[in-house]
Amino acid sequence: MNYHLIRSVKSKSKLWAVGLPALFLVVATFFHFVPPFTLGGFATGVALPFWRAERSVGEELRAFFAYFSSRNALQAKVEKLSEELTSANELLLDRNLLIQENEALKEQFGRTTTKSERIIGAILVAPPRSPYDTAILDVGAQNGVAVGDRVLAGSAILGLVSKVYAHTSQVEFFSTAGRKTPIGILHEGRAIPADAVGQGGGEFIATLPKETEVSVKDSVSMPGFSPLLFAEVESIETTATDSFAHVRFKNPVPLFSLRFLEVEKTLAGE
Amino acid sequence: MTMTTTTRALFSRRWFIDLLLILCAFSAPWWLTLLVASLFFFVFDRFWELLLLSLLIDLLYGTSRAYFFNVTFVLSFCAVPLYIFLTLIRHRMRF
Repeated sequence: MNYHLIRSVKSKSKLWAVGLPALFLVVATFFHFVPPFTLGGFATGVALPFWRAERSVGEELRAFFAYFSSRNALQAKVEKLSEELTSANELLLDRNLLIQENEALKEQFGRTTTKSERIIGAILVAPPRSPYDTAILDVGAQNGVAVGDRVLAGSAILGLVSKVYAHTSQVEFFSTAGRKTPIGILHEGRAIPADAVGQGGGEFIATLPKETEVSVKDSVSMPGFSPLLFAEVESIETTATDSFAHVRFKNPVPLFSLRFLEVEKTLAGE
Repeated sequence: MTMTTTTRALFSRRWFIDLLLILCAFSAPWWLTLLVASLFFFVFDRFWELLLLSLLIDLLYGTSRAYFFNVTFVLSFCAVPLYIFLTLIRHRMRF
């Protein structure tokens, strides 16, 4: 005699195991083709108070623990920083002169200098918290930030604004894994063109013919009429049998220690 | 030290865990959020929150990836095989 089961437990659990992920895949694909800015904006809006609270608590804690630093350690730190500041000031002595000379030369060649405005944004979320080498800034469309604006830390260019919401914006660093950026490696007055491939965490790799003359500590800049500092060569790897040299370089400022970034808005074309 | 009855009751509530995981997605590294969600997969039945959390992380931090066919929801797509894998493991476990 055959007994029919009232309900098939096995088939129901299989349906959950396969049906739910399949449905989820359909939803995710739908969101991929329909730009998810509305939903992303909503999610960011919900997260914003937590990020702001977290940042302010972090600042307070930092100030609190600084209170317990030993006097000798603080004095040593002040002395070290003073020395660094003096040497940095010495290096910057001719900077203004060089900028003026650069602008005069550009004018002679009929190129006007680019006027830009910088908006300072506090970093709410930075790598490695995000899985994609992106950062969230506390400035958005209401502050005049737009998609494609350049993001800098001092004179170093780090990335571009990839998403903008009302009060926040997302920065995609050039070091995002797999991202290719055209760069120039400055060696003895020549700019060697190459493609920097992002490795994540502010690191890049570029592949050049073995014979190309590149040295460690060479500056890497973005191509353009007003080149910006991109990175500094860290190491060059090659083998006797390899036809290519793999040049590794890093952002001049570590991404993990940044607290603020500047968003540059171009006001007049080059 | 043992957990108090109230704490234990709170941790057995699914909504409370969901809330904690959402906060974790906001303020903890992405891998930690997914790891904790994977652990709760063995505590609760059909823990579909794992998929939703990966979607939330993608919505917050996602950007199109050149080496992944310019797809924005890389983590969400990766969460699907993880969900199926964890379901299969769970079915083979007795506790």
